[in-house]
Amino acid sequence: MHKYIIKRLLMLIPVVIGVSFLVFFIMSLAPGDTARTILGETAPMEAVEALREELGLNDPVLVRYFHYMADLLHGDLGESYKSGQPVFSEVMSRFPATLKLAFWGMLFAVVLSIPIGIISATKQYSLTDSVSMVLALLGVATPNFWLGLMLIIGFSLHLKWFPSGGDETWRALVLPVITLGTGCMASVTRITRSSMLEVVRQDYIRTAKAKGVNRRVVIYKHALKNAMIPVVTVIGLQFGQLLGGAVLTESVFSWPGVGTYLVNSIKAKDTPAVLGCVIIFCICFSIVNLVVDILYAYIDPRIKSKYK
Amino acid sequence: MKRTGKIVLAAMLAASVLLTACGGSGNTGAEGTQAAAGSGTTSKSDGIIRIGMKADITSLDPHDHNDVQSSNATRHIYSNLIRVNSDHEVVGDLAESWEYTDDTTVAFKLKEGVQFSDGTPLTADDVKFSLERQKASSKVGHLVAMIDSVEVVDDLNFIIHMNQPSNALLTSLAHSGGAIMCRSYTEKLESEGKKLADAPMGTGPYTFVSWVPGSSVELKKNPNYFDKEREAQNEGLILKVIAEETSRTIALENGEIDILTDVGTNDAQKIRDNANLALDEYDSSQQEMMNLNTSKAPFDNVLVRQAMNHAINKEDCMIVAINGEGAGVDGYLAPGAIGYKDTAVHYEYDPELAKELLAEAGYADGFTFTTFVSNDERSRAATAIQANLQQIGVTMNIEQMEASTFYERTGNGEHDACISGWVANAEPDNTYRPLFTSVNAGPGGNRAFYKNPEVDALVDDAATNRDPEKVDEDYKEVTRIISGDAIWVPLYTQTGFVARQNNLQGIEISSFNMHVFTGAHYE
Repeated sequence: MHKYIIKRLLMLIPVVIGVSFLVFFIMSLAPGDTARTILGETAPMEAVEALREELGLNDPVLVRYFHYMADLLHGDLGESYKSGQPVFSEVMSRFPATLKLAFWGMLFAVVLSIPIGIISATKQYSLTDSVSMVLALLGVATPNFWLGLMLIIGFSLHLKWFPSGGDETWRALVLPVITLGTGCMASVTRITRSSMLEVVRQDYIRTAKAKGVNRRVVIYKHALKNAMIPVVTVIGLQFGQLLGGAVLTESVFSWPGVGTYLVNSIKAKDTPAVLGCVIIFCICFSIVNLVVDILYAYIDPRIKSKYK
Repeated sequence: MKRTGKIVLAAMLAASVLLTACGGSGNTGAEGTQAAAGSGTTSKSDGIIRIGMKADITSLDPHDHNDVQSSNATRHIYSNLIRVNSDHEVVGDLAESWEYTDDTTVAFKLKEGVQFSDGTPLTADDVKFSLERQKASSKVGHLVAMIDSVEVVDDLNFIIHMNQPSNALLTSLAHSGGAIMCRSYTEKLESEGKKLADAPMGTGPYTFVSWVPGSSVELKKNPNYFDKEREAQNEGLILKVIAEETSRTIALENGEIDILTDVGTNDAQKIRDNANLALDEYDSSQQEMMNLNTSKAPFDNVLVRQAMNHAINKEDCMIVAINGEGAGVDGYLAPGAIGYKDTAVHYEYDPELAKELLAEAGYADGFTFTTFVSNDERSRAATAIQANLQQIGVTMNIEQMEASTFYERTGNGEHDACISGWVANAEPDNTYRPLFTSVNAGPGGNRAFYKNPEVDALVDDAATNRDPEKVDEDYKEVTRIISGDAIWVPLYTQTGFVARQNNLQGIEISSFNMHVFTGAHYE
């Protein structure tokens, strides 16, 4: 198991190199002049040219990539073109906010979706099942930014229960968490239900029922554990995505996370900042996937035997 | 049948749950209000003024940014030698007086007794340090390119030597990049490997408290501020980043912020209608225009360009683009801008005359061309223009693209026409030179690719002539020439807005977005 984890962590190196190569070249192919974007329209050409020279933008792409990778190997993500600040500290100053939102959003989704999924599956075609599935469908189909604005209008503007934005207090967390969690909740509910439905039709469940095992035990011990593999996969994928920053939710709720920073950096063609974000996401995503794989082993001992 | 019934019932239940969740009853019970107040978002008693703005701060080092949002913070922490007041007058800030000893030499005297917020006295050496540091900056160094050297005479007196005569010196010193910083403090900080952006310190009306990137900057009143007449009327400022337009307005309606600087045209009427809020309106220095590429057919023909000016209904265009929150313009600089001259040729909206001009130019059957635009507002404006032009037999295609692509492609001259905007700052030369001179054709800002040696000479004279009347006449003449040559179709200017809580007073509004919040307080 340890070997497996180390192997997976080592695999991060080629992944980071591949991702940085792709992003670097895509950024360099995109039209637009970084120096002009930073200085604004009023700056004279000489100033733009001087800044381009200072940032090394006149060098060939391969040379710039080589310099970047040389710095990266020393653990240096470079400095943002726009602010001149180290990218690592800029991203890290925003990462806790993103992590906080992603964690609570996911917790909200998981705590509600798994029980609802189980109930739906065990009472298939009942009113409860139909209501929860329609809600899940709505949850998946509702755009984040729209739900966010509706929640703000309802609970902030009219009821005044929660502030409309910011991240200073726990109250400020409620609406963005619901906004972010709803989409995930809907997906996880649906996958829990379908996965449970598949498992409860298995022979060993019928056997358990036939030998008179308590219905609760059958569902929570025999069925649920076996139904969890796809559910954990979906949760892992969703959480990985949330760590990449929920741009729309962050924007609506003025949440100071990485997503907004990344989008602004892309707009400014701030290559070091974009690369820094993408590399850090890439590492987070890989770690979350690794955690998911490790969880498989605990859920299903048969998988554990394959980890070598 | 039974199942269908269940599904319908389920859908109704689900819909009702969702509506209840989102609808909001408009009930503002005491309990709810208290809860919001308890959340720490609404409090008028602490004397802190909260200001909502649309974008994040880039840096708190005045030499490391060139944007309005960062400047909102730094100009309240630092002072400059000069400032431009709300009546567009150049007045001394840290400078007591200044005098031109010849065309390229200006002797300055600092005010006595000014201290940095850490208690260090301000000296001419700090000014020399700051201006030299600015000159070395790639972000704001170009603003003081005319400064050759700074000669310190004594603690209060210094001389600026310019490498060429320039009328832009004083307004450039008023730019937020011209902030005066403390030499000993900055050098010590930087020698320790720290960044000034993380701990800015100046002689301004506020001192720095904290900066949460992407969220907010907090400033506290500076009790040692030198100018007692302009000292803060509040205990501090919090500049909050609220990226989404609707969320910004809601934050103001909720009382979570006291002032909103970036008001969307969609929300202006809503704010006017709200008895708790007030909307201050001002002539902004922002203008939208359609640049006609004079280096290409058919817009290399002045008659065609004049026809375009007669064919486009600016008022309609403005209503479609910005909900009527502005005015159509004839001029080449917004009426609210410093350096605006009213000598532009007026082209009446007259499609028949436009057709006649086209026929005279040899385009009696019209022509087809493409206009580049870079955002939704300009795309809406283009749609209105497209309809206008159809009436005179001209087909206009619209190509919308992302801003940096737009600037690159229009800089290369790939466009027949393009719609862009311009926000003029305090120095007219910073508008006239990039937009209308030959050397700046293309990426320099002159997207009409207009080249006229007479205009170049007038702009040069206006930038260097020490006679204000001659400068005035130069800019009037430039306006006459370029409007006669119809290098643009000037479209409209958007009304400037600052929204606030109704009982908050004392904001010093600036037509070029450099509002001063020191006087803001509740009555």
